[in-house]
Amino acid sequence: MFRQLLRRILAAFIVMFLVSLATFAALEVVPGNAAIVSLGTEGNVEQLAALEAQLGLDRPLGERLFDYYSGLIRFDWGTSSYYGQPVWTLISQRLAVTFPLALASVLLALLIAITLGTVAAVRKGGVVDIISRSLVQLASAMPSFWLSLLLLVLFSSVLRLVPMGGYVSPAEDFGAYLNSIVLPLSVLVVGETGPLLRLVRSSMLEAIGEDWYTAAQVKGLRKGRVIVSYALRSALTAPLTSAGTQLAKLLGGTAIVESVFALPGMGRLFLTAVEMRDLQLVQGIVIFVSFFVVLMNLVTDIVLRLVNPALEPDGGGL
Amino acid sequence: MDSRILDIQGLCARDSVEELLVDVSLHVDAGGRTAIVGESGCGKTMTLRALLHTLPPDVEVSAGRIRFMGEDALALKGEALRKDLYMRIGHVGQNTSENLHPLLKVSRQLTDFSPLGRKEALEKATALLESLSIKDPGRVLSSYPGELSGGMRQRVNMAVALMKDAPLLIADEPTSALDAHVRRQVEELYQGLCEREGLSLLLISHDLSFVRRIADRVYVMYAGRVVEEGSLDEVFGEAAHPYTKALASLSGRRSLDRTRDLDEIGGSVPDKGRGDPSCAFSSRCPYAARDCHNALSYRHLGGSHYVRCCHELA
Repeated sequence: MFRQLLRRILAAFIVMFLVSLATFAALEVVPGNAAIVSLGTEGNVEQLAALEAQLGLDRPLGERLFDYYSGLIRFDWGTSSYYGQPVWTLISQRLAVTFPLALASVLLALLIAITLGTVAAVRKGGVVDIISRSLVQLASAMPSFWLSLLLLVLFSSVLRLVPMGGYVSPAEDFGAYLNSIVLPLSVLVVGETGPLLRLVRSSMLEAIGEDWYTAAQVKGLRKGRVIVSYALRSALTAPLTSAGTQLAKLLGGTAIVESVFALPGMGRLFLTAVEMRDLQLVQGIVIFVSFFVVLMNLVTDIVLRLVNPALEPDGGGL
Repeated sequence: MDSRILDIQGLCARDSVEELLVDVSLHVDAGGRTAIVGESGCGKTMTLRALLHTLPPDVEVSAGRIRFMGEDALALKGEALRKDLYMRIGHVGQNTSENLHPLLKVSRQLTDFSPLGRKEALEKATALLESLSIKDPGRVLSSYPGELSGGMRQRVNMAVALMKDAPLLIADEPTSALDAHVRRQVEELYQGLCEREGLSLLLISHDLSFVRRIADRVYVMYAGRVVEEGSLDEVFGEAAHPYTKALASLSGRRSLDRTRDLDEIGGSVPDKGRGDPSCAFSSRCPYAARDCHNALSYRHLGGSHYVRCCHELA
């Protein structure tokens, strides 16, 4: 167990190293650099050279690579040319908005998917199965911006239950915070529940078809325990893995919902960075999100191994 | 009435296409040891599955009744099914390697259904494994099923069935898929079990030499019907059905399977037309004659010996 864990962590570091190297190389290859971007069309050659010297862009590649890595480790990820603030500060501010939202939506979606998916599988063809499948179809057919607008119209304009948009930090006023995130949270949950529910249902159906499922019932174990401690144990591997990946993806991918609800989150930061050609910021966000994906895979892996210590060293669909 | 712990009367089962079981009647006396024999596909396991409510979803019982310990076993549902049927029947299933959850330790799977406390249950499981000649129960208990050999897993399955002190033990092909040495051991374990006071056994087996050593009453099934029944001596000593005779002549051989033909009778068990009134065996029967096609009367031959064949064979 311990040696496997070490191997996993080592592998994660190697992936992170490669990702950061690729990011560095990509920005190196792209025409233009941070100095050209910040000067815009108005600058001349002397100004460019001066700014490049100031930003250290005229130094040899090896030296800059060394600086890049020593900066990464010290969370000194450069300065955003658009915001004029350190990249890490920007990311961590926006993360405070996006991360709780993403985490809560994945956990809620997982909870709903496990409950409904299990009932749907155990009573295949029953009411819950039919209704949940129709809802999944409906949810996957609705684009998130459209659902967002629909909810806004209903709950803000008509019922006036929540504000139209904007963000209040939980430290300021927790009630207002909840009001500001309840709609975006719902939209995210609707989007994520569908695929997870389908996964839970199909892996539960597979588990129910196994000989040990019938054998556990015939030996006299209560049905509830057969479902929870036997079938779910086997069926959760795929949905948990998928939820981990989903969470990591959400950090960079809630831009639409954030835009509609005017939330100052990671997605909008990323959009702005790309629009403004803020290379340092783009680099920082790409690295952060990919590190987070690697980290989430590691965490999911450890969680699965804790739940099922008997998993094969490289099994479990990871 | 209650001298019979299990009494199946006129059981019929069918899926959407055809009949699978036709008018199956059999019983296990309290303290008795009944065996069902026949090639694969004869309906032996299907009969058990009707009793245990584990028929495939498209198969339904269309007629007949099953009484277990005086109760209507087919009508049981939910908690009553668990308490009155599952907790009173020890069942050793056919597919030994897949009856245990691969991700749960043996100790847990042996104790989680027991009404005893965890500690007591664990002590009992340890004692049971010892009585099944496992030398190191501690190691087996702390293993995952995948870490055990086939013979070990078979014993763990037996221990699961015995944990409940159920009055009826059902063993479905307990010795198939085991190598000769392990099979010998498992057979001895069953023989030992049968000497225990008050335990009734329903055994399903291909292995006639094993049946001869262990059973006192035998049912021969063919194509979803019981074709002959009686005491061990009646059925094997004075076999009246040509199918029984063919089986008995093979008892030196270890197992029968559908793909290998019986020696003197070619062909295999038919899947279709089980509900027809004609004799399903007639196409393979060396004694077949024209009158076999409407000859399904169940004839009494004396004692508890019955046969479903119109010929008077010596």
